[in-house]
Amino acid sequence: MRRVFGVLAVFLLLSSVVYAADHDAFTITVQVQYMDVTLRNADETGDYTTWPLDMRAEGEVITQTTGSGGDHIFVDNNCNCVVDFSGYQVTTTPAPCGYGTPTLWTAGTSAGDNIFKLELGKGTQDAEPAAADWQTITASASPGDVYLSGVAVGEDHHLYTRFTVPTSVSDGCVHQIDVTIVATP
Amino acid sequence: MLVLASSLYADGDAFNITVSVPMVGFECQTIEGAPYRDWRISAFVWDTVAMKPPDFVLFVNGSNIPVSILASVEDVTEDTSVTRWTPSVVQGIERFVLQLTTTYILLPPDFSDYIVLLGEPVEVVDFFEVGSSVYLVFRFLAPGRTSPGTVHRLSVTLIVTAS
Repeated sequence: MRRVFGVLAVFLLLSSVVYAADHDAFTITVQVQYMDVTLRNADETGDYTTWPLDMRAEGEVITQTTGSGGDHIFVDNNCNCVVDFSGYQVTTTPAPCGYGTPTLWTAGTSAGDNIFKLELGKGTQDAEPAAADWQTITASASPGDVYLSGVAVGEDHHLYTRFTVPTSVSDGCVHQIDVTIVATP
Repeated sequence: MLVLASSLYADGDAFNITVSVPMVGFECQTIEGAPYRDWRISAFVWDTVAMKPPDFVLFVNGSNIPVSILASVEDVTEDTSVTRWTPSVVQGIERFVLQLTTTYILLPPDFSDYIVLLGEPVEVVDFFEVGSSVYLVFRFLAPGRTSPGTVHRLSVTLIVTAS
């Protein structure tokens, strides 16, 4: 009888080995590079939309002004990775306005006949960019010309625009230059 | 694959710059709106001939800023055998007077107020609004003595500058 129990005990032991299970786990963590850039007014609020220059003389150079009440731009950087900031411009021929022949303005490295010069540069709220920090913008498609590289996660900056009016023009119409600021990883 | 896809992603925001440049321009038209060619007159010595409505010069300001109008006159007769007349404030030998006044209506002005045009530009209108127009009316005082039968060609130059 003791022998019978002994065999049975061995059998049960073997059974438990066969049906036993174990587990371990791992997790996948992933974060997607997220780009989010908003242009705000110099006081770091609102939405920056237009820099109205009104009427200017041929060849005149205009720079956005400093201070929280100035007309420069605050770039609100909500990207979660290191990025480069660049800019490009798009212009169109104005509709006939009765003053000369509407002619397309283009961006150049220097102002000329129906050619304007557009520059972007990082400054501070109370100071314009240093001379070496201005970048001429001639690109007309994204991402454009880089004016600031390797910007840390979430690091905002104050952006200044410098505009040189064409040295001669063919019309007296209002011209609009659309400038887009782009962040790329 | 996810990393590659996100690397191509970029975000941007935009603003625009609006600007215009002063543009100065004008046209001289007939009262019907055609380009003004000339004012043909015949005169004897000492004659005074003033423009009448069909001959008025319609000055149309094509500038996008207010302007001033200056004017001058000179004898540009091409025949070198003809003694050229000199613009003057009073009539005289080989000297003529050309007076200019402005009006907004098609009625002969009384020339109570006028400018005498000379060889150097003089200001006719000191402030002229954008998009406005005015009639220029001339009065010609012929020289007191000159070679008979000669045809003179007088050229009036208008200069428009930012006011």
